[in-house]
Amino acid sequence: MRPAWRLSINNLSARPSRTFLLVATVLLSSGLIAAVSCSMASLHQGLKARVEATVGRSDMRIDKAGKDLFPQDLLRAVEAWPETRLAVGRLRDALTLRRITSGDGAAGPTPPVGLIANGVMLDREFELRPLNIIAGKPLSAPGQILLDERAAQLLKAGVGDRVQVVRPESTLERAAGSLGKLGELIKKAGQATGVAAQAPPTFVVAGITKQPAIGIGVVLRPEAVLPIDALRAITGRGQLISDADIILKDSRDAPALASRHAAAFETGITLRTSEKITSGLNANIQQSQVGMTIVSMLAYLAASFIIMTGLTTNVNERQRELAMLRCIGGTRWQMGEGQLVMGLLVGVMGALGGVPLGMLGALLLVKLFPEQLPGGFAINPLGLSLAVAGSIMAGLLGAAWPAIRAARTSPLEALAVRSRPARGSRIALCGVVGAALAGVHLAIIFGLSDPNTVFWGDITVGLPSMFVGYFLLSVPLLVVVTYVLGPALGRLLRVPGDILPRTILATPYRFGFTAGAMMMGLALLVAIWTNGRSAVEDWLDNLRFPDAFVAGVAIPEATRDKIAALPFVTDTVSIQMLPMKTTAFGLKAFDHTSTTFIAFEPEPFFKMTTLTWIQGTPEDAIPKLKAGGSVLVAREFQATRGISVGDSITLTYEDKPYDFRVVGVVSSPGLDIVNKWFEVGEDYAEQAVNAVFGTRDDMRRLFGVSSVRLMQIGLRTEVDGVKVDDAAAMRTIKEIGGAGIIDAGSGRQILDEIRGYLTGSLYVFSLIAIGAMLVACFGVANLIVAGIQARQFEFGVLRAVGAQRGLLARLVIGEALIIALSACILGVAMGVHGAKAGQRLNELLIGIKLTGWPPLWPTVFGCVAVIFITLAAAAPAIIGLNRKRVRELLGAVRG
Amino acid sequence: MIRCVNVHKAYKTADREVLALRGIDLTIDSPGFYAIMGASGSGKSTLMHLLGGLDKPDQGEIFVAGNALHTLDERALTLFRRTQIGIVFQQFNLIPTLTARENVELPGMLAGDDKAKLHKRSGELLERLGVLQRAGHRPDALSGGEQQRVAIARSLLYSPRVLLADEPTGNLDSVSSANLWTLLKELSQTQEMTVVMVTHEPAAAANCERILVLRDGKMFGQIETEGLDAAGVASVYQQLVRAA
Repeated sequence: MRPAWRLSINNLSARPSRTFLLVATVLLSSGLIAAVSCSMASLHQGLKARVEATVGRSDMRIDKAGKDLFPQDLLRAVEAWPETRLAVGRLRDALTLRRITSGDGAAGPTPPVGLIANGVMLDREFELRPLNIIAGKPLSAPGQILLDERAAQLLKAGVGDRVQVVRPESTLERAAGSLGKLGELIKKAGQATGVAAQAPPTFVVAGITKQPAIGIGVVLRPEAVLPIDALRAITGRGQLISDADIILKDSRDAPALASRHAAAFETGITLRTSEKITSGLNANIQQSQVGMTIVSMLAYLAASFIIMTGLTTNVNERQRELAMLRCIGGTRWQMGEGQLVMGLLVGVMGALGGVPLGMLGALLLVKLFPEQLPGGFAINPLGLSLAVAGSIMAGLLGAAWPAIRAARTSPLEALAVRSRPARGSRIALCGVVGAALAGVHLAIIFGLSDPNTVFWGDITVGLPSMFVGYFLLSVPLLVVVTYVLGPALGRLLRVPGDILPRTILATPYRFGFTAGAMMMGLALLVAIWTNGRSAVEDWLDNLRFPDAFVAGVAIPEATRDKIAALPFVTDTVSIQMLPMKTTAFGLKAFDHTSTTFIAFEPEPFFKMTTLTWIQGTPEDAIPKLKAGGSVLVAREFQATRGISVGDSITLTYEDKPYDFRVVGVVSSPGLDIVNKWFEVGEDYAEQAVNAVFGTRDDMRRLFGVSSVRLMQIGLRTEVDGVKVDDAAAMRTIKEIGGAGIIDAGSGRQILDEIRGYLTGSLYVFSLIAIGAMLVACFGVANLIVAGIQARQFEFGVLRAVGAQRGLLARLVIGEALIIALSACILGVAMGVHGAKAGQRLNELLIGIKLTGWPPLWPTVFGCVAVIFITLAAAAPAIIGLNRKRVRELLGAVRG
Repeated sequence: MIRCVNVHKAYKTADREVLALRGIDLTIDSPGFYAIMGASGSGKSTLMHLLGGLDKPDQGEIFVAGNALHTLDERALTLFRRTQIGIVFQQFNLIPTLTARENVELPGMLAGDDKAKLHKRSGELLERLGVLQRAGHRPDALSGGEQQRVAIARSLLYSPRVLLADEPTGNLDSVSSANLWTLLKELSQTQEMTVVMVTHEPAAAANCERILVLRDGKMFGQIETEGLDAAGVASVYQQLVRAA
């Protein structure tokens, strides 16, 4: 074994508690990275499973833009292709069911459940998409239905139970009865539409299927599977289907077939290979991997600073030992190599412990939260490799400066071991270099304008510079804090004279970098809350939703008319949506970013919706919109690309570009957010940013979309003296609205729930920041222990000349408080710096303008947490110091 | 064995330059036990550091065990210290986390020597110095005299022709000190080594065959100690110093 290795192993094993603390810092960082990466892999696995479950064994798929319905006749043409082995159609529609409990078929007490019904061709469906049946059997006859787990749970139904379709008319009496006077009015309206009552169909539950859910933040609608003819009979859709899947005789023919036949279909009907369907998801996963890499890099940079400070303290303590080694023939390289080996060993041990711990943590999360992580435990090879490589790099990087220090040890100087005060000029240089590095980050963020350059410059140069800069700034800042607060704090803690400030100023680098280690978590907390609160206040609070929304699947005109006729509805607007690609946002590296094309009838929409016109006017825009080929764009388009009225914008749909003229720039009414909230569109794999607004005519003409999935509704506050309750109104619409309706929600309710979700997310992310503080806590504990051990002789002298035990404890507490206060100042400063940089990046990449400064209470909470954690980290060392006898302290090896 | 020709050395402190050696001329051309004495600040330790290759002179020439130290670079000086010379300090300077045997083997470990050979050699040295039974103990478990013996054993690992000892008994009691002086004298005789000891104690110097006296950075005189005891040495030394 090389001598440096032997000496390093010996050095680490001789100081087990301090080695443990250093290793723990790296271990927790790598564990965190491993746990997050495996959890993300689980999420992605769930997403992929969902997509693949939808795609099944299909080689190709036909569907219509906007999830619209199209004639089943198309299947015959597809079956006629010589390459086709099997073509399977499916109808997806909205359905409301209730479980029947009494033998005579009357409705039971269970509430109705709105769900997505999949009407399938019994003779072919299960060859294409085998179902994961967890109870009962597959469908084998008409009159049977399969429920997914969620539907079964909501309906409280099991295998063999009977469920009944809830027709709007059948609920009229019940709804009217529960709504009092309003109900009487509704009943009158319902009778006025002249809808004839029919006997509601019933089905027997043949089996329960596993719901391939997605995971955190995405709640899919419950689903059922029944014969397609039965579904058509209920919904009256005729010979229409939602999509068709094709199994080829040879899968390899798929791309050629797609290019040969795609043009033959009418506008809006798309023929795609299954690979294309899943490729979009892979692109999203790729983007999240980049985010993961950035976070890992920052976490390990923090860990490397802690290691650097710990090992540098070790070098300082062992000056005489290193000098002696040089005296007896140790070369400079061997001294440096020893430090590098120690760093490497700390990194390796951290990885060996942290990665399995992180994987175990992810496994536990999957077991404890199966609904949020339904994809099961998954390993992310890239994430785990990052965790291992990052640990080792953190150890080596952290050991670099101590290695240089050790290699520069002069035998003579170290043998003398004179107390040498830190040079003020060097501390000032630290400050200057630190400020310059922080300035480099600011220059990249605010000095450049191309979003791609800013983003990649930020990741490769800016963020590391900011990091290192603030660490360097920690030293002069600590000196200032010591000068300003040290004497007063000393008096408060009854530490006589200038002992407290002088002790700290004797080794400003050690104390300064310790403060730097603690600042990270606070900076993260401040940045999260600054921009998170801004997102809620600047963005969400400025959204002006209409009174209510109704969401569904291809909501038929009859249903829309019925809703419009309800006595408490003032007006309605039908909305269509289609995801598209645009180059207006995001990064070139990730191809085009998604946006949403939202279509409506201009006049009723503008009458109902409060839009702020940044450029253009309704009077000018409406005729141009109606003429076709024109759009309004959200103001974020202007913010990122300077797109204005009169400009042309290209949107890509199914790889085809479409050019539009911009006739207005408006504040977004948030309809894309509402669509996601209802989760009807299965666009969970899409991460659309902002929206463009056009007409339904253009949607029909260019993309072949005629179906409506969303309706905006205006509500009266009272009808004939009867006050209209929002919740009652929504319940009514859901129950008696008609075919195609999945859900209804008031604008206020949706806004409140989104606000609650965002605020909840802030608390979740705050936990990550607290976690970062706790990781730093181990490093801080190591440094405080090292500091105490290095000064044991001095402490012994203090005790010998009459200082009480309590004085030493109060001295170390004072030191810990100075460290914590410096960390608070640094953390808040770096947090504000990071938040402002984040705001700028947001604006550049997705056009959303966030403003704002750190909110008071989260910042105060963060500072209190820093102080508490620092004192807690120091506590064991203080207790240990207090227990030592004077002779023990005086007998400590010096230098 | 050892020769210095017009050696000058200065050190910079915070506010001034100190001329530690101002033209030392010195020759020791046979094995033996020699002492260097002088008042505080006379340049004793500086001379010792230069002879040990821990530093280089500003001016002049230094030859030790056939090596022209003034011409060697950093790496060559390090190798010189590892194998050509032994150095013993006042403060023992053992690695606290290594056992006595491991401390003795340390230069060999740094050189990457064979473990088995090192083990055998360290055993021989520890036995010769009377501390083999303490081989497995760490320094904090050894007495001052034992630690210094271990330090001497380490310095003898490569059988150097020159051994330098800088106040080796400064931290020892009188009995341990006397034992150590006797040991060093024996080494100079049995191993044909040149042992040079810096000391301010006449009792220590009395064990040496010649005392080199420094004053104000220059060679002031020499004292032959044959027939002199500690008191005699002290007396002669005082006369020499007073006569200046």
